[in-house]
Amino acid sequence: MLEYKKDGWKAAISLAPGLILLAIFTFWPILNAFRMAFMNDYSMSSGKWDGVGIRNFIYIFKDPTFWTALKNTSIMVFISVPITIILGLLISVGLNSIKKLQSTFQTVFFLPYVTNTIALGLVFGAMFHQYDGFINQIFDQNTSWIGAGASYTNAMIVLMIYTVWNGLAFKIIVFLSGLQSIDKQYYQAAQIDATPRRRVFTKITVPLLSPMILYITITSLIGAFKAYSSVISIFGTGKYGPGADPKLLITVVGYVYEKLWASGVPLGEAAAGSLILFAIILAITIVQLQVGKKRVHY
Amino acid sequence: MNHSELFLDPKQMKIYKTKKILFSVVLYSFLVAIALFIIVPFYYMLVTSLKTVGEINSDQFIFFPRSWMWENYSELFTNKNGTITSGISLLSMYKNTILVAILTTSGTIVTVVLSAFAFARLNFKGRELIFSVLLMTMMIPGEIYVITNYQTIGSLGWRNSYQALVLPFVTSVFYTFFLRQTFKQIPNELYLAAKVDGTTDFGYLLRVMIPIAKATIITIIILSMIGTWNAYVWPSLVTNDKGMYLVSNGLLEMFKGKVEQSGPDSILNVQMAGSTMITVPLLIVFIVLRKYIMSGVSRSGIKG
Amino acid sequence: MKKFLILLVVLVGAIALTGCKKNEFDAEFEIISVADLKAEQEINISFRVPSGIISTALATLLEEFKVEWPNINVELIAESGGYNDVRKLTILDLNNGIGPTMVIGYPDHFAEYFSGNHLINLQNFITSDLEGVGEDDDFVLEDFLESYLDENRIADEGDDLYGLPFNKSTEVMIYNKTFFEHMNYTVPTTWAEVKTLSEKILVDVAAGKADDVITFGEGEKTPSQYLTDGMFIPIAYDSTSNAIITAARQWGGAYTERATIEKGYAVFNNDQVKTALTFFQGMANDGLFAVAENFGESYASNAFKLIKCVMTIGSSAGVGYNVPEGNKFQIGVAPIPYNTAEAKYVIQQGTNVAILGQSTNVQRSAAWQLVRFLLSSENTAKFAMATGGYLPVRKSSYETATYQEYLTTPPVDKINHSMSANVGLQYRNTYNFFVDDAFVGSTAIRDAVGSMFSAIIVNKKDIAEAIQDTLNELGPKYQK
Repeated sequence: MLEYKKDGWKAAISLAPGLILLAIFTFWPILNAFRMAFMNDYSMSSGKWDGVGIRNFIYIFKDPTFWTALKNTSIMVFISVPITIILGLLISVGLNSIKKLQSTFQTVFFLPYVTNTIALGLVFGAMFHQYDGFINQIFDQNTSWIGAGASYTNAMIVLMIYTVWNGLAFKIIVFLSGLQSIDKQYYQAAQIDATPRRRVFTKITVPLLSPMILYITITSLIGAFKAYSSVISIFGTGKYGPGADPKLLITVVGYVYEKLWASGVPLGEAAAGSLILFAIILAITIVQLQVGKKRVHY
Repeated sequence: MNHSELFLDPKQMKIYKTKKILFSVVLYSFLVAIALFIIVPFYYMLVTSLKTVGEINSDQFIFFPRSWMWENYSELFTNKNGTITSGISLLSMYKNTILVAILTTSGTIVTVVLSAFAFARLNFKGRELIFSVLLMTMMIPGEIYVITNYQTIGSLGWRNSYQALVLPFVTSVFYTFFLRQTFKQIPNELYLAAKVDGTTDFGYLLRVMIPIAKATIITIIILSMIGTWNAYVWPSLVTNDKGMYLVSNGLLEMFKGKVEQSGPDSILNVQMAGSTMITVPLLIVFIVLRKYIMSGVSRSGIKG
Repeated sequence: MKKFLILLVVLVGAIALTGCKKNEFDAEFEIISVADLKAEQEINISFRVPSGIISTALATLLEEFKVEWPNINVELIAESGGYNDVRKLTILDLNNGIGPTMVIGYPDHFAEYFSGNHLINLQNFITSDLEGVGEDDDFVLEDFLESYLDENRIADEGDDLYGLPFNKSTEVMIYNKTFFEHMNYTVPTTWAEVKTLSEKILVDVAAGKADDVITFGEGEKTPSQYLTDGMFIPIAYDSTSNAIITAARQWGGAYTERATIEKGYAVFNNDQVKTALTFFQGMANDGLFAVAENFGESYASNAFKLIKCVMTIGSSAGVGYNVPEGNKFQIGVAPIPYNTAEAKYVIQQGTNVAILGQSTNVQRSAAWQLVRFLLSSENTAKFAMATGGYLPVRKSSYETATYQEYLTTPPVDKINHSMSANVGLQYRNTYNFFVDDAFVGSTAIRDAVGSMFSAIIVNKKDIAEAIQDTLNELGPKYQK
């Protein structure tokens, strides 16, 4: 094309504001994270580090708290995400089949998306309060869900419920508009053949929706892996567990952030931790894309 | 197509019709159950915010408080009972969040429109390369940036300032990508026609591209403002001055020290009133702009 | 491409500029004489403290300082997040080449600052010959409690002071005086007595004898009602960390060991500590001893106010938090229980003040004058009385007329704090203040043992297992 190089200056001007900001707040931080991660024992309070190497990573891998965080996060991810997706799929298919009240239901299901995560986390924490909470008062119990002496399972259940509650909205809306864009012809053909509903679902709906399902799965897994505000808002005090065990449900992101105010402020470890988080997310995405290649129909 | 035409046998039609009704009943019950699941926390939040402490402590759940304690709400503003221990005022939380949201969103629109324009419409060497690099950064979790940005803000002396809250978020690769898709769908003929008329490239951007992409731009505005409303981690890292809190970190900090009290000293009702006051503004905006928001979000999901 | 490269250079330049800061601070340390200091036009120093009673009390004292030193402007930076924020922000600032001139903090904060070479060696000032700077009649090192000074000898070698005591507190036992008088109990002095008394209390409360100790309003539960709910436990210990650290001392067991300022070990896996923990767990199992979490509260004072417990061990600075709404009952303050008479240990807490290196020599000397002012015999007494519950750091403060009056005939609004101060004085004569060596990471160990104690008391965790798990969680960094 004759105009190929002509727009150089215009492009520079248009891109300048965005790129400068990205450089300071995105590119530089990424480079710096890589840099700090390999500065052994780099701590902010002393400003010193002990040569270059992978000692920060080794320290993290030997740290039991890291494995707790990984375990907690994995449980949350691999249980809540499938539940939310399947539930979301069923709900949107259901919504798609009704005409009356469809938009009312849609609006109701979308509410959690426009509510503040922290505010509603506090509400969930309050709902499961041992003495003053809704759940215990209705079922006439005294279990400690998230308060003193709460068991790991109980606390995890509360967190799971909140995560599902929060996550449905986005999936429903994406699936629903995906469903609505499926060509009616497929369904009409199935009707002529008198195909039972279940087969329509598994053989037509799901495959045609599969690109959307893949996208939702990837973004949900990544989003769930980065869980942080939901945990601290449920316990209400900015920690990841009840008083006696404030690290009970610590997540990977929480583990990284805790380094920012730990003794000595070990920024090297924080950076290393964030790189590990990135690696995990990258791995999940790649795996998903591979799975997607075989299962997704475009 | 009406199936009933195919069944001439009245008995079979009856079975078919009952099956259909049964199915509808099951379906509606399912949807209602989910709707209840979604609504219950809101109900609990509202109801608790209007209760007295005695009603909260009661052993049986009280579904409707006897009298509506609007005092719990006024407590948020006047702090008569000293529930707000940290001197953070709800009004300043609102003001800060709205101000930061407006600044961030305006800045975002400017940078995103310009960048998307450059990638969609302009030709320059390295365009695809730079764009791919940007796309790759989308994959990188924000937690990586936070650490360094925390240091940068400290070194610039920008703690407790608006620029610290705004600038790191004034551009977004995701929105750029999203808008670029929309821009790319504008037919080339329009551009060539405008060129014939003698319009400059930037003129074309302002007079043609932006109006056509209005829906997407509005979606970006809405998503960006919701994002600021929900921001927690970054504000809590860079501000601790009580006049600079945003709604999310302010809500968690407000009742410090009193939050853990239970029994007769519980402040759960005021806390729930606080949550309500943070949730309601966004809900109101949602109800008013419902169609825009929902269609925008779904399109941003599909484009991905 | 060329245009893009130009852009890139601009970007990198912008980043580099934000990173580089001209360091105007003096690496060479020089003391400025009082005369020269007074001759300076205007000196600006800053002092970072947590906001609250400390900053309020300081503001008053600073006004008096201004009269003596009109050319020194002291900016008081009061952080709302307590000592944690003071530490976080100071570390961030120091890392960026700026920083307040003075800061107060806990010993392990100072360990962190020290590891970055940010603390000014105060010994230089103390031993100076210059008039009005070094030790003199106003500023006598011996007048400070030795244990307070020891805390500030941070360096691995030598006795140099890198900080001076600022607001010191300790732990006291607060008891429900009305309750004790009503039931005719004597205040226990040893843990054995605590146990016997608590057993008696449980029996009496179960029999309903305590239900008329005050008039209970509508919706308020009586002690026997709380007992039936499993919510009445006679004695509570607020700080779980302090509980186990003090117990370790009182039972003669080791807790931590410092190797250097940057490295220390957790050594609490020993028999004495286990014996102590067994004692407390035994009491907890019998419903005699609790921590805040047993009541579902974050602070034992909340439980104390509702008469869910009648004795609580907490900070001497925090006695005010135990006063119930509407003064429904009176409180009394006593020394904490001890185990054996040879080991009457009570923890020494509170912060110290230091001068930071991100400052000019003029600023440092000016800051030193402020330190001398604040730590004068009279002013540290004034500060203690204004903040209530903190103890004056100089022995001679106790002799001043105002402080004597505070101890013997306090004004009505300071009665509780005066009681607390009296116990503080009692400790000086009959107990031993102790403090554990600070090093980078000592807070992590402190937090960990606090959680461990909670688990042992609240969750009835097996003691040996709890100790081992905690050591594992702390990681190889803190193992010997």
